[in-house]
Amino acid sequence: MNWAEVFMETFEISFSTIFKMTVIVVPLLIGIEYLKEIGWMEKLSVKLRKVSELIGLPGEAAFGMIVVYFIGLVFGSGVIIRMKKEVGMTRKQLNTMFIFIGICHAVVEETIVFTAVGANGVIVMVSRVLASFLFGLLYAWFAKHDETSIRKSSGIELE
Amino acid sequence: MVIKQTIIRGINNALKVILDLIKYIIPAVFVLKVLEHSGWLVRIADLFGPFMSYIGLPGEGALIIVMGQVTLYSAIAAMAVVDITVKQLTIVSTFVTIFHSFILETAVINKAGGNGFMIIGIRVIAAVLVCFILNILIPGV
Repeated sequence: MNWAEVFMETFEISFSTIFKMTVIVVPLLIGIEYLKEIGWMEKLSVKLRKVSELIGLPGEAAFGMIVVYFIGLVFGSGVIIRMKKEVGMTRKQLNTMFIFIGICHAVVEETIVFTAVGANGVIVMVSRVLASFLFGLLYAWFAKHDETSIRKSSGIELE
Repeated sequence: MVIKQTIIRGINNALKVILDLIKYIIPAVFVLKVLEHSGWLVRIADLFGPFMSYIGLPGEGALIIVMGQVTLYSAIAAMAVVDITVKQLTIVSTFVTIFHSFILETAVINKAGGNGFMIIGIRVIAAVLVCFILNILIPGV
């Protein structure tokens, strides 16, 4: 094996990929920061309360879901944990929500990043959103079990 | 001033992302290049080729999906190394965006009170199903 070639190619591909990502991600994250500043997610969540209730979730869930859809699961889980304490969701509702946002999160960032490497971002994003609704709704319809409130089943988390 | 702080926060977040990129892309590209030059990439690709062909991907697609379990950035590194078409890029991107970083995300969901194991199972099924359909719907190779 030619190690010189391995190192050279590693350097070239890494550099060009990181450069491409940087050019895209920096303005994007500044933009998202700005949108957070003007409170657009709160505004959008008020409008989407009805949609949230339609899929069997409390209207308050809309905000948490929007945060995760646009920003990401790891950061968004903090918002969800806080919301869970305030609203009191059942385990089924919580799982429904996590199916939605598990399949589809951080859509803006991830779509743009994959567009940068050459994929068709529109197809990627639309497929994800559709898949999240399909499987989220399927679960909401078929999972009849376990309507016990998270409040009752895990009281510790409420302390 | 709001705008200035906003930009600073944005740049801070961006710097973190760039550090992540460096941390994950370079080792991932290196590992893949070693596999490629030692001939193992072809062997692994041949092994997974029959399964991957259901969703229109070459055998190397399996490596991209595995890399996606480390981080999405590692998957991107793999996509930059492996030689694939735009259609295949779109399919594999959809696959890894639906199903990625399963260890971390299962832990996060479990911690937040959901059933992480069931959800990751559903994500795998969703990824396979969606990519199977995309392979039929997207024209070309």
